[in-house]
Amino acid sequence: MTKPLDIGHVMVLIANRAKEILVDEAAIEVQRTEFVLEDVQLLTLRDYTSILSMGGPVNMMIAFSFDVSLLHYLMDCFMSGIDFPPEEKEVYLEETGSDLLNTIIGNCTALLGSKELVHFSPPVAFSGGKSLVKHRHARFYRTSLHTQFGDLVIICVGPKDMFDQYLNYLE
Amino acid sequence: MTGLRVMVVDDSLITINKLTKMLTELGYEVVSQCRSGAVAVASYPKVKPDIVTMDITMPDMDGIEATKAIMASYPQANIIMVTSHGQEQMVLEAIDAGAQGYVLKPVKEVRLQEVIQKVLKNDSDDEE
Repeated sequence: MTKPLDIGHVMVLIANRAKEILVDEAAIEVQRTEFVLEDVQLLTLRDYTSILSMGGPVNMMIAFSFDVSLLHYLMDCFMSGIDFPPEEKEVYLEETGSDLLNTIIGNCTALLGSKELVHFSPPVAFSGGKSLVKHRHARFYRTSLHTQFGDLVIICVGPKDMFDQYLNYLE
Repeated sequence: MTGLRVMVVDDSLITINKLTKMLTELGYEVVSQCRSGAVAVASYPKVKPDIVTMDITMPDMDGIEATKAIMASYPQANIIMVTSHGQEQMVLEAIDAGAQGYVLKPVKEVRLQEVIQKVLKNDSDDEE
């Protein structure tokens, strides 16, 4: 049985990989980064959010919550030169967020230094100004990456077995 | 045109579109796009592509299970994992399942072409 990894260390790895990918794939420089262990009951999400669960030595849910302006810019970069029906724009916006989340978390599995295989689920995306309500045993870790196009907020909720994939409490 | 036919398997619409664009620019013909391992396993016998690019983390059936299923029936299949999962243990699992190549996301066209050529070369060496 491998010792569980430290959540703070995982957050730094994810934030650093996110910054690298934003520069490499979309030429977006992160202007400011905040790391916060949230002591709040309610965490308000941004316009679009993608979420996945990690298993193995890392037992947590990871959400990427985007300002719509940033996600639009990323979608335009990722889909450059590719046509898609205008009526499917919402779908492609959500897919952009999920694709970025999947790529960054997948890449981070190699950086965790774990001998145990790290699993993660396919992302689930949703839009609208939803909130996460904290269960008494859960902890929120938040990292905000501020860019000229808007913010990417990375949220870690641990332990993950308190929530289903839509962040509803499991009784 | 290389004349070679490719099946792209990935649950991400963004990746499917990006890979299709890259492969088309490299001269390949994308003949099938599947959004889960289960769909890929069902489609493979109908399409019989020269190359499959296979994601790992997908709903219904993941890429490792789909690769095992395809290789069990079609041992000559050329399957390249195209995935964000960078852990060494996962690369070994993919190779054990029968994958011949591994490309890490975000995908670079040069790397994709390099791995495809390597896989095809090994394939033709095996036939000689």
